Amino acid sequence: MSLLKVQGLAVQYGAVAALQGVSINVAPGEVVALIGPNGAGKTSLLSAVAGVVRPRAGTIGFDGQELVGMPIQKIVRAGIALVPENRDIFTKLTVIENLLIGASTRNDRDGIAQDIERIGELFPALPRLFPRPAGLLSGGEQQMLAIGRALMSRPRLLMLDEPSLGLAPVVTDAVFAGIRTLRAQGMAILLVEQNAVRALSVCDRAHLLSAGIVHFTGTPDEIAHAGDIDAAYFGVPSDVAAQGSA
Amino acid sequence: MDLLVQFIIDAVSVGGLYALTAIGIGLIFGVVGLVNFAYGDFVMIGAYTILLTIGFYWPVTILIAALVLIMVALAADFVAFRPVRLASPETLMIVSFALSYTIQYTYVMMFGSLARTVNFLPAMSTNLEIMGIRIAGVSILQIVATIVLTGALAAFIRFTRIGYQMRAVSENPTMARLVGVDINKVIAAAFIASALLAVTVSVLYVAQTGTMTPFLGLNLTIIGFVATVIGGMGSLVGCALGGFLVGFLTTLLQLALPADLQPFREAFVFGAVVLMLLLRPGGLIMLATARERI
Repeated sequence: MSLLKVQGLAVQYGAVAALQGVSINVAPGEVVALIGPNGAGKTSLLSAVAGVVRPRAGTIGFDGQELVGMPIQKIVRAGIALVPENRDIFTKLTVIENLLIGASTRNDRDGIAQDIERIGELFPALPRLFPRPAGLLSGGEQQMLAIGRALMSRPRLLMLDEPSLGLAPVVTDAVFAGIRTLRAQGMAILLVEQNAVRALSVCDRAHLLSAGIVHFTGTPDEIAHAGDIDAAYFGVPSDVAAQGSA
Repeated sequence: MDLLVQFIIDAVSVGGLYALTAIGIGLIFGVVGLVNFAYGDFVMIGAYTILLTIGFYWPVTILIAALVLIMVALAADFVAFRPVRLASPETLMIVSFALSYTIQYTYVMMFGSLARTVNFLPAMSTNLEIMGIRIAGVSILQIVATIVLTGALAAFIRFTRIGYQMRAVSENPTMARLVGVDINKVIAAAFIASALLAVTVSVLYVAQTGTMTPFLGLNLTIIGFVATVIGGMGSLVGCALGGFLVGFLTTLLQLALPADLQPFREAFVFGAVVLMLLLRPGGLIMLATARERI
C-alpha cells in the first residue's frame, strides 16, 4: 500500500524534457530519497506533485486521490507539504507568522498552538526567534522555519527539496537531526538531495534520477554496493557512501 | 501665523484625500500586482450612489454607497481581473483601462456628462472657529478620516490572519498558495478594503465639492497613481506620504501662483513630481521598503 504513487510522470518546459516517464512510490512512514546530479529533474518531480507544474503525462495518486489537475490549495489540504529548494520563507513576516501561515488550511486554534510547541521542540533554535522578522534569520534557521511552516499544515507527506543547500555542515547536522526525529515519529518524507551521503543516511529507499529518468532504485545499502553508480553520478567513492548509510 | 496654520490645515486635508486614494491604489498593487486605473471610477460610482440616495438619513446613504462599492470592486475582480490573474502587468493595466472606460461611459449613458450637484452633509461645509482660525468642517473630517482609516488598515494588515496572508501573497504568491493560502479570498479582501477607502473618498469629495461628473475619477486616479509612485511604488506608508506631498504641493501652488497661472496648477504639480523622480527614481522611501509591496 503506497501513500504516494507516481506513474509515468513526464514534465516538459518548452522543448526541454525535465522528466520522461518517472514512476516512484512512497509508503506511509517511509523516507524516500531522490538523488542525482543537477538538472536530473528532482525538483520538477516535487513541483508536479505539489501542483505548481502541470505534467505532460502520467498520474500522481495520493491516498487514492488523483492529484494531477487539482488546485494547489486542495493538494495541501489532501496532506502534502513542500519545502522548496530556496526555502521561500516570507521574509517580511515574523517567524511566528510564518508558522501560523503554514496553518492556513486549518481552523483548530488549540491544535495549531500545540503544533507550534512541537515544532519548537523539533528545532530548539526557533522559539526564541518567534517575534523576529524571518528575513533576519540565518540560512539554517530559515531552513528549520521552512520545515516547521510545512509541518503546520499537518501533512501526511513532507517533501523536502535540498534541505542542506548552502548550509554549513554543523547546521546541516541540526536540520537532519530534525528530519530523523520526524522519521522516527512516522512521517512519510520525499527527500531531494544532491548530497547523496546525507540523503542515504536518513532514507529507507532511494531513487537515482538522471536526465529525467530513474536509473536505479534500492536501499541505501544496495546503492552503496553499486559503486560504479556512485562514481558515475556523484564522483563519490563507494566507501564514503557506505559510511553515510551506516 | 494664522495664515500658516490655515495653510497647514488645508494642505493636510487635501493631502489626506489624496493619501486615501493612493493607499487604495497601492493596496491593490501590493497584493495583486495590478495598477488599477479604474479605482477613481469606483470613487465616482460612490459619488453617484450618494446622489441617488441623498433622501435617506446620511449614515444610511454612506452605508448603501459602501455596499455598492464593495459589490462593484468584487465584481470587477471576478469579471475583469481574475481571468487574467497570471497575465503580465501591462495586460492587467490595459484591462483596468478598459474597465475604467466602460464604467465612465455607462454612467454617461445613465446620467449624461453634465455636472450634477448635491448638498451632502451640509453641516460639514460650515466653518468652525477654533482659536481664531476658521476651519472648514470638511477639512477636519478629511483629517480624522485619513488618520482613522490608515490606522485601521495598518492594524488589519499587521494583526489579523487575512492581514499576514496579504503580506505573504504580496511577497511570494506561489509560496503562499503552497502553504494553503486561498489567494482568491485574500485578493477579494484587498478589493473590499480598497472599496472602503474609495467610499470614504467619495463621501469627502462630495461633501467638499458638492458636484460630480462621470469623469471625476480620472483626475483622482492620476493623482493617486502619482502619489504611489512618489512614495515608492507599493509601500502603504509611502503611498500615504506621497498623497500628503501632492496635497501639500497643490495647496502651496494655489497660494503662491499668480491668478493667471492658476488654471495650469496641475502642470506645476506634475512638473515638480517629474523633478523629484529624476532625483529619486525609486520614490521617497525606496530604501526602507524597496521590496515590500504592502
